Amino acid sequence: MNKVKNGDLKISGSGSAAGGVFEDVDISGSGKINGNIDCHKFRTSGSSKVNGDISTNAFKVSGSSHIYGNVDSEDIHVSGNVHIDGHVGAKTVSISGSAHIERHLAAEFIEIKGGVTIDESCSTEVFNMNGKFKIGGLLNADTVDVHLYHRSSVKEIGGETIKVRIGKTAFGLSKLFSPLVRTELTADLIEGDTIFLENTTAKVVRGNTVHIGAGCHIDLVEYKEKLTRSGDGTVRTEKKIL
Amino acid sequence: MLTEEELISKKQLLELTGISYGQLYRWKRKKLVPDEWFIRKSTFTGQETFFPKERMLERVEKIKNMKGDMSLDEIAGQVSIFPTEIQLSQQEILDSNIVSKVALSLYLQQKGPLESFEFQPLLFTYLIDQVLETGRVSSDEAKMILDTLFTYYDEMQGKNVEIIFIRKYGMGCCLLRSLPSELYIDKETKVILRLSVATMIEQLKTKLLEER
Repeated sequence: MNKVKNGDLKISGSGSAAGGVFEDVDISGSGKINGNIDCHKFRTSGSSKVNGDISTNAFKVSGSSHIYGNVDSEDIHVSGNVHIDGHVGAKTVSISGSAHIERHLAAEFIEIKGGVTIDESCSTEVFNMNGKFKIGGLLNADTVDVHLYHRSSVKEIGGETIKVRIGKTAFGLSKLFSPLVRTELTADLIEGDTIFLENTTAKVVRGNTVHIGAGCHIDLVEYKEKLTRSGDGTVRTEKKIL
Repeated sequence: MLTEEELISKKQLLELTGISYGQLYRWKRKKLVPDEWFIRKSTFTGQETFFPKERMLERVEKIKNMKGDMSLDEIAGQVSIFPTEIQLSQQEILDSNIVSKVALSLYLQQKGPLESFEFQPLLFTYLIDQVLETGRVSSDEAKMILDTLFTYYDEMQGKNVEIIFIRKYGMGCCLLRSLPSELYIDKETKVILRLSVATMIEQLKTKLLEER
């Protein structure tokens, strides 16, 4: 098979370019791209704007970037700040810093240190979270492992193993966030096979084995096998499902 | 209004089938269960999720059966409404008993000779076969349905479509509607048949799989 090698797109300093098919796209400084991009590697450091969709294998942002379309990439790596107006599809997503996704995020492995806002829903096999998050719809993941460092919210969580714990202060991350706001997660519904919660306020929690820890306020817990408690967590109504 | 299906709550479903929350959410993620089957309803405990009972129980059984020798992604391909890649000759189609000879010749008569069948013409032939099998429409009316499908196939892609055939004072009429939607028909019009294209696609894919 003949493979035509596409050229690279490089912007350094300040500049703008049209979209297209490239091998590597590299923006350092301040760059603006108008149009869709199809490339092997997309890298931006500094500040960039893309008016279009990006389809790539590796998407890397350090600094700040605003994508006005969808992002489809095998690998997404953000250190800094990214705003994506559209959907995001990826295998692995790693964010240290902050990200705002206005539509759906679908991935297999997500690791976040910092903060993320997803306006619609998020589906992944693994969701590892250190920091704060806000998800407007359903967080659907096999494994949800959250260390809270700030007020977070999600409409629903569904999966196999769901763990929400208060973050360790020794981690250092907590200094970044204001201590005045109570660190807690609020949710309408949490459903899973194994659930462990701390500092969570939820209307309904359903699971096989459920642990309600310190700082929890749950209206209704429905469990199949076991309900355990620790700390000052409160449960208004509990029901064992037969 | 055309009648609604019976629903089953998520709790009842898990109890009845023995599947876990983890499994159900995994199947949702992998699109083994279409998003539109998750129906939100308000109850006294707040919002609850319901499913179309019959279709959901059937789907759970199917996934459980296939899980032994297929990956979840392969099963997703099997149950999705998107076409798969196939290529069958007329003889192969007849030999495998996927469609009747009557339906096949009606298709060829209407659309001209075809050497080998890909998914779309095979699906149309299959739909026509199912329509004819009900015994409720004439072959001319089946042709009308086929023409309607042909005209709107591109717009139907990826949608959950239902074929409806109605008749009033002997005059037949074919409708395609994308679900979920409501439909109100005047009293003198008889609904002759309703056929879910998504269900037919699934059936056809199952038959093709058995043939392989």
